[in-house]
Amino acid sequence: MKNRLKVLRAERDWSQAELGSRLGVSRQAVNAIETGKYDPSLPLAFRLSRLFEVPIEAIFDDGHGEEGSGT
Amino acid sequence: MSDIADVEAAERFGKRRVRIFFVQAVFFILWQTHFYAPSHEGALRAVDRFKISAWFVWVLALLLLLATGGALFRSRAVRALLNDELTRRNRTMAYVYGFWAAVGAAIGVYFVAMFEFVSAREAIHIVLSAAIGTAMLTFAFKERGDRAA
Repeated sequence: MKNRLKVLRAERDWSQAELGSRLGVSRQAVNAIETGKYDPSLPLAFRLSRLFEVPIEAIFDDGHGEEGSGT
Repeated sequence: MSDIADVEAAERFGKRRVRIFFVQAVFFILWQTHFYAPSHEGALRAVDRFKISAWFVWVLALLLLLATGGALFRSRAVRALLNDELTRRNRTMAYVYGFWAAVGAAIGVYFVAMFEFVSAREAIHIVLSAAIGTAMLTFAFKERGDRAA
């Protein structure tokens, strides 16, 4: 799943380790999410959303952004 | 929220853990060839009983390592980082691969037992070794892949 984590982190000038410490996960977990190797759990996605003060959809893109918004 | 020092400590121990898991898995698998090299016909000698007991202790130690992720004497915060959800995912995958290795080994033993006598202890030894060795290697490779970069 694509995500904007690297951009959001860079905007705040945080290192991966610093973001990891704020989220309570390892630097490797942050790196794995940024590179798309790992999709975070829903609780971690919510923590990211709260930390960056943006909706989850603004961080992650599953490629079906327009689906389900109609009807 | 964790301390940045804990994150850095977890990273160091995480790299060390990958090496420990990999070396332990390789030695454990290589040891199995040695285990079956000598003849096991007849009653068990004292040296055989010692080898079997040592192997069993090794199995328990590896299971403890696999289940807890090691670093038992580190702070709770560092252990939590060392066992974050990424590592828990890798451990789950290791269990899955270990399960299928055990099933494969059990099927192999089942068919071999039709042509050659296999004792219960030997069968358990083969199945456990396949499961633990595969799970350890899987965990090491997956953790190494995630820790690269």
